[in-house]
Amino acid sequence: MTQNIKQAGEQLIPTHCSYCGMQCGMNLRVDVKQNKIIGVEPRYDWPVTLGKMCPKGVTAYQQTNHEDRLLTPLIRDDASLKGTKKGFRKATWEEAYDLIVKNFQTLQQQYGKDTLSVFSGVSMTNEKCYLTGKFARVALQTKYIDYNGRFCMSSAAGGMLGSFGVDRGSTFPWTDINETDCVFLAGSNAAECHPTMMFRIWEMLERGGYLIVVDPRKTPVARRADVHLDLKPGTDLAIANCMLHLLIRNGHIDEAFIEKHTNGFADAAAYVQAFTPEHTSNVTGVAVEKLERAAEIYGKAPNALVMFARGIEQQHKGVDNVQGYINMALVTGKIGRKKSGVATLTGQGNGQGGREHGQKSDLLPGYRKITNPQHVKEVCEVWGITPEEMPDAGVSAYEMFELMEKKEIRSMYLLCSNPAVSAPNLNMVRNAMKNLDFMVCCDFYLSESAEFADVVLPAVTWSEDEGTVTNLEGRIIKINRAQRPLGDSKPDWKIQVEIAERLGKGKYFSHLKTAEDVFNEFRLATKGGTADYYGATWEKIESQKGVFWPCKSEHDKGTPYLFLDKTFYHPDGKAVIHSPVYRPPAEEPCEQYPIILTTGRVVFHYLSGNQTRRIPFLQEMCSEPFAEMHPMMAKQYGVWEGNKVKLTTRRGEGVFKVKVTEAIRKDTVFVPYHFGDEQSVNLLTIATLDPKSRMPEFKACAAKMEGWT
Amino acid sequence: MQPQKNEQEWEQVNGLDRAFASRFAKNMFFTLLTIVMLSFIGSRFFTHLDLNLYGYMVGTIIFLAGFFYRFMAWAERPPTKVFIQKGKKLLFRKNTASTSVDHMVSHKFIWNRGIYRWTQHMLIGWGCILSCFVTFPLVFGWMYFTMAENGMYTVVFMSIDVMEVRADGLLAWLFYNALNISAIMVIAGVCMALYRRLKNEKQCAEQTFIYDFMPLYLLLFISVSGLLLTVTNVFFAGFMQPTISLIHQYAVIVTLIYLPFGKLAHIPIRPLSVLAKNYKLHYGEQEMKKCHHCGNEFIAAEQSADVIDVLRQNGMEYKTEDGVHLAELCLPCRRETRLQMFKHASASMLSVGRGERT
Amino acid sequence: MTKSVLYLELDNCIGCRSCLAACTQCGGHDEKYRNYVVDVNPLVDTQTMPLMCLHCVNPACARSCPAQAIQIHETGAVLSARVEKCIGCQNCTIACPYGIPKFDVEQNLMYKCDLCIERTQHDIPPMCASVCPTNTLQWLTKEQLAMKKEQNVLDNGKWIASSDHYLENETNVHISLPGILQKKQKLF
Repeated sequence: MTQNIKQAGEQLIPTHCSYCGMQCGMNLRVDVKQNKIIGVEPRYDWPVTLGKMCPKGVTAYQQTNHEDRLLTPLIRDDASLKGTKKGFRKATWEEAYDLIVKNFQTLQQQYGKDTLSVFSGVSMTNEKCYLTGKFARVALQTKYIDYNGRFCMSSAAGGMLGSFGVDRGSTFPWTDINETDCVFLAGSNAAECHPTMMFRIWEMLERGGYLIVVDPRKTPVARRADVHLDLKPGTDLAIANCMLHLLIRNGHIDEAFIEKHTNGFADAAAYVQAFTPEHTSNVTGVAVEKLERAAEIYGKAPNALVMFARGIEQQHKGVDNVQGYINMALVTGKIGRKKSGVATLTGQGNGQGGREHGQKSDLLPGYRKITNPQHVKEVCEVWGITPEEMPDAGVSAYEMFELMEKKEIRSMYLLCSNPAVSAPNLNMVRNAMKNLDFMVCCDFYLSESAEFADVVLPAVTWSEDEGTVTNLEGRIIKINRAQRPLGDSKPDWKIQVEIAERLGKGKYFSHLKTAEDVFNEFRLATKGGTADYYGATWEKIESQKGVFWPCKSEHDKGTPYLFLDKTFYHPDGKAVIHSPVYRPPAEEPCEQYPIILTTGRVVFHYLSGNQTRRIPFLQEMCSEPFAEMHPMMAKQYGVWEGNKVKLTTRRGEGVFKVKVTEAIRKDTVFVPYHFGDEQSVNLLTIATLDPKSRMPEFKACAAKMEGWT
Repeated sequence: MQPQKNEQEWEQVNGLDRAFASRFAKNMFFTLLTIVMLSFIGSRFFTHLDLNLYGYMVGTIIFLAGFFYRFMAWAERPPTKVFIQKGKKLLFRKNTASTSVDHMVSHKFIWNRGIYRWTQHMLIGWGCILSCFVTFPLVFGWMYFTMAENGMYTVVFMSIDVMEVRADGLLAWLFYNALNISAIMVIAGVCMALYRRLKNEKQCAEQTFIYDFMPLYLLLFISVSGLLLTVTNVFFAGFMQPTISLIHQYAVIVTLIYLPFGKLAHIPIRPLSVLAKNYKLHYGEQEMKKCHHCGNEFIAAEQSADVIDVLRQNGMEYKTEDGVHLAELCLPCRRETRLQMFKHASASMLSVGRGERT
Repeated sequence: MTKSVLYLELDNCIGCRSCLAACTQCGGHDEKYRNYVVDVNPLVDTQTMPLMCLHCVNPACARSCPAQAIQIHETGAVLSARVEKCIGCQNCTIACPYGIPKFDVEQNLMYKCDLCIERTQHDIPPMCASVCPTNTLQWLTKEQLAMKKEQNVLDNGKWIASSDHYLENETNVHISLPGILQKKQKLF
């Protein structure tokens, strides 16, 4: 095993990256005398990523001691300055807490408990995610809690729950990717969004395997695909149904498996009859031969993985898309064994763990449902409250902003998220935040969303606290503390404990003195749930290099592969083959808005860019958004590389620099969403929600374009 | 290799040069002659030579031999020769003075590499130079002091009474203690340099004991032993003074002999950077080379041609297919050309193009 | 020579520029990267290729240096100019057939990839190859390199760039050209 280089006076703290769901292993270099993070060293012995890091990971350590860090609480007395960086003054924690408690209590007395809301995120540890759910329901006693996973993972979660009865992002460990024979990758720009899995995909190709990519853009991963299905944005379900049609037609289905382990095949088979390659080609714009070739490869492959990401999930039929693609694995029986299976490429660092433990409006720890009295009872026992005290289910992230506009919600406690950039239809969302009576924001930088807050609390970065994260495989891993909190900043869980105490709820919180205390209570709270973490102690995580849930007892080593016994999590042990009904995107191009606008990421930035836009190297590589379009379209509109265009939708407009490339459909414009203020493409995106996952349709809307000088 | 070539050239010389077996011998002879004559004048016909210091004299002569051996070989290397020959002619440019100050006095370029490094370098560099300025005039009798009865010192430089200073005055104190001050400067600078090397893995990796650490230890040894001389004189009534003096002297001689061959050789090389700067400025003003591909000017045309010539002498002829020398392309174009070549590799070697195998 | 060598598999590059970010992290690099990633088909597709010092066996940069400032480490790595010797003439930047050395005007100093010598001398992979998410940059033992060549070379022996094909001279860094998978036998 490769050794690390270690300099005198330095310590290497093994941990993981702060950013995406890959959670690449890394060592932080710490100057021991100054207790200061000064650099990064590869973590060669981390089995998932072998020391590899993307440019965000390499520079992630620069967040911790960044000059923009918030070091004290900030209070803004003049509410008219909301939405700007102005008017904040430094304050003590006591002063900030007093103001928060006074406002929360006044508002709740006047408008009821549910006038408060908590908007959270999943780029933080399980401990914090778990406690945020408890904080909202026990300390604030509000039903309105939801999180930014609604803009990220919720369709995958909904789809997997529906098909398998369980939502674990991946049914196999990532070390299988290079060993399988075929990867069917739908709606994922893996090369830019999960770069450190690319060496496994290339290795699979090098072994003679096949890669099929479904994406409107010829992304760096699509560039080397054996088949690239360059579909029209928002038409994924047609492709999925067509694949099913072709698998059945080609006789590539596993009838024994279908019979023994699934329900719903007959209906699905009947429904996809209509999705002939010709029909699908008309709907999606993908050539018939390509569709046939893709189905043939997947059908013939001895082992194959179906993987998908936000491309198919961020649609108003995201859940159906997910289930449509899962059907491919279910009808061919390419699941429930090694080197085959289904996975979503989780976007956020703890997108998996964060959604399992009670930050979602209707979920409680261990993937329990708040609508299930038995589940509520189990959690209440751990929390020490009565089931009557447990609030009802709330609403999803975007819907909370709608309630804020209606003044049904008058206050928000925001943490670990930057919805002023990442939510859809931003004009409405920003307005909703501006109209709040009182808003608290916890962050370690003054984000675009913090600009709407009355009180900003300085949180710590990931490197100044410890805890666990569940990566995109479903592997629980350990984040280690490398440095003491900078200035007066505090970890989120500590802030919540201290606010709870001041709200008179100390007896439910005061015993939580360390992150490990929170973890141990959280393990207990998950015990017996679907996502059972009970056996995953910190020691086990360290010694085993991660523990896959479910891990039910001290002796349980965890579950790297799901369904190896072909038992699914529905009550009858069978998986469900759904028959998702195709429908077009909520907004289709028309005469007035003739272009399809799609959004996504670039490799240099993470989510709203609040972190990555402050890192000099990443800024140097990509400092502003761009409108990527085909040369044909550019010529049609009389613009070219480096010119500017104004894009307008029914909701908003933005001016972007043109980037010309043949690697995109001729009818589509792509803009990355990591940028703030008037550079946010989410000013333009549509907020039509998936009926099940409440996921907005970030991936397709209709726009018009004009040259801008 | 190069000295040999040097000798061949030498066989064809005429005139006065014929009197010498080699250019080395000629340089050596005239340099020594100059020193002897200066000493003759400076020490008032050898009457004021401090023979206690004769060891340094021997050391200097051996140093000169090494210096000429090393630098004549160096100057014969094709790239070096270009800069020396062309640079020499450009010495009288206006900017020479300011460039020299930047490069050799204030070390501005080192300041830009970091204040710590600059401080360390100033301390070591100027400490050494100061001590040389004091030591060598004394050794060769170019400068000495005479004591008058009125409590005044007379400073004699090149047989001329330059000034009179009060024996208990500040100036005199500075004269006596010049070597102590320079020793302290060097010790401080060397300690900074050693600390930096021990702290930094990269430094350790690239540096070898002999090349990088030995000069530092030698300087440290000279400075400490020199300081000890003062200490023993002032505090211990000259205890062990002769022994320490001898040790100090040997250390200086060893360092002098070693100087042209190790890291310290950069001191006599540094003036070349002034020549290089003049060369770049002068020929840049004359004509800039336009990149053969993109047309951007990237370097003086003369330098591009000179480098091509130097490479040719080394048996390197890097040309593109259309006969353009790669040194005629700007750097981005050179990279671009290479990568385009790589890119087309597959197309040119396979009849089937890349792309989807659908 | 070290046990291992740097090997570039150009087709793998996704343009993430991790190697540049990693280069800034290497000791003594002053946060300035010394390698390159180039879009080889601008306006057409996303293909990119990295280019770094190939560490020539007989390096033109060193041969053109009037101050003998560019030294070759015992491992074969062509080091960045020695700071005390470099006179800032820029000869090396013109001589290098691959256009690699960079020049810092303020510091009057050339700087280039030194193959992370404090790592590679102990056979620890350089930072760029350590982090490369795609295995475009690999740190291979001689045996692994031989295997790669065996796997990737076509009948005409041309897939690895060499002084005969696509390179000017013999280099310590080995390059496999795009298209290595062209004749790969598919699994099914």
